Amino acid sequence: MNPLDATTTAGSDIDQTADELPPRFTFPKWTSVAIGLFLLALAINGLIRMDISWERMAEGPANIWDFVTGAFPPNLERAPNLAEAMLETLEMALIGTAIGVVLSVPAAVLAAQNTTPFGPVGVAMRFMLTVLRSIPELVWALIFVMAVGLGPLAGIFAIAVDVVGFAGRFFAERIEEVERGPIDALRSTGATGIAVVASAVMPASFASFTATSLYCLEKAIRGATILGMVGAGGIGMELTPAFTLRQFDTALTIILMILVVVFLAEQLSSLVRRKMLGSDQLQRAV
Amino acid sequence: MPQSDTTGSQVIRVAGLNKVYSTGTQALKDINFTATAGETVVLLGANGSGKSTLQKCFNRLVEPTSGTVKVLDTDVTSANKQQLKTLRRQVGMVHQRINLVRELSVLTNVVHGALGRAPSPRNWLGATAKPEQRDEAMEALHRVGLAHTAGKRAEQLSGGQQQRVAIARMLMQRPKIVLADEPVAALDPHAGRAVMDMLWEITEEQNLTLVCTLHQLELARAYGSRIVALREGHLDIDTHISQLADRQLEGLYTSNSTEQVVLEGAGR
Repeated sequence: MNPLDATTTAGSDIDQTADELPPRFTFPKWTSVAIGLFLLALAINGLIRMDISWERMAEGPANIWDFVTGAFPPNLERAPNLAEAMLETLEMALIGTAIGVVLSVPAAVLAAQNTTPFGPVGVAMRFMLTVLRSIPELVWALIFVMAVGLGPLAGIFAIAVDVVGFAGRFFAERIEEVERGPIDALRSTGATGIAVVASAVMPASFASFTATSLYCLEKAIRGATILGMVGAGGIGMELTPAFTLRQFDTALTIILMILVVVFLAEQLSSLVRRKMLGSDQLQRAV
Repeated sequence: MPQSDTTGSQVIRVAGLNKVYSTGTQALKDINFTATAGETVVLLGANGSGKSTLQKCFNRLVEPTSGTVKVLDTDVTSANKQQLKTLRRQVGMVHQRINLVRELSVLTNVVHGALGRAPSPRNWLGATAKPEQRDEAMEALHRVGLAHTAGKRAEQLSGGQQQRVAIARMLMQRPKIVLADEPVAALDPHAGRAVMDMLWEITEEQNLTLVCTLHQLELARAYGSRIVALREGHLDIDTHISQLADRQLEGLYTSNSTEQVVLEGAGR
């Protein structure tokens, strides 16, 4: 007897459903279908409501070609002025990040569940960090331009607030991951809560805090380049007029400058991170 | 209100102690225990027998559920925050997992031992610590034979060396009682012996009360004099090591109670 036949027969005798090959496709749950249909309806409604002009879309490639031909070669006449604006952007990012990181440390200690002095304070602080993070940097810039007027100060505040929202959360998460042992060891000497945080929690978190801060700086530099578009200082203040006045060659110079600075910031950040982690950690492990 | 007590030289007095964790596990059941000044007690028991929990109740790193714990004339169960801090300063701990701050220097870790009695923020780091604390920390490191490692990061030391640094940190605390929680469980036998020798020497020369939990029977035989054994949260044995048969000790790690083991032994 063919062994395959035997198996088939035995299988059909025992429990045919258990041996069935699973179907290639199963119909999705009705909730998934409903969500999918809702999103599709929203998108179709949007297309109808926005009254998208196909003629204007057709003009797009020609306009982009205008930009490309107008942008080359980049205009270097105003390079010294633009470099100064770029420097202002970098300084805004650096000062804003520094303020944000310094404020993030106490905020994180209050927010982390293992170091907060009082449960409700932790909840309130985590909520505040969520609010700071949820509002985009550009909106913060608009708020601070209204509060302190046009210029880099508004940009610095916007960056600092954004950094607190971001770094505060990541610092707090790192604090919550700190090993319990050294904390208990210092508590058992009768040390105060502040001393335990300063002597056991901070040293264990320092490397992670530095990596997060560098990422914040990188992010702040990227963000600071456009804050000027809403009047909050830096190179962005030059970018908007360059486009509105159709000075595409100047606009390209600005874009190239942003590209170089962001690239350099990323390289610097990876270099510091590499130095900090050591070569062993970054060697291929798999 | 914590009560002051001067009866005899008992430095630890535990009566009717129970501990039930929030998970419902009863870790300690009606424990009664005393230790006198300068005495050395080895706490024995299998994993989960409650010996570490009992030890942590002595300075309320674990909150007792009921019963009384009096340590150095302080009623630990009712002590307020300040009284608890004062007590903790006098109770040194040596942990199974060593628990040094690995990212900091050996000297800083030892200086940290003084944080309870010298809470100046300068003592958060060895580099900024006051000269008297730095000198004292170096002296403690000399005592454990590791003065030459003072500037190294704690994580660069071997496990045995790290545990000796933890002993130096405990010395820096100038304690009256030392609680050692399986201090050599994470070390190889040779390093383990060196740490045990050092711990016993230091507590003896400074006339400290030592309560040391162990689970290695050979170490208990080699170092123990008074043995207190726990089984499933109960105090099972409290006697001198010379009064204990090997079968009784080994029985701590089986499901039979010590009485059963003794009876079975006698019946043969």
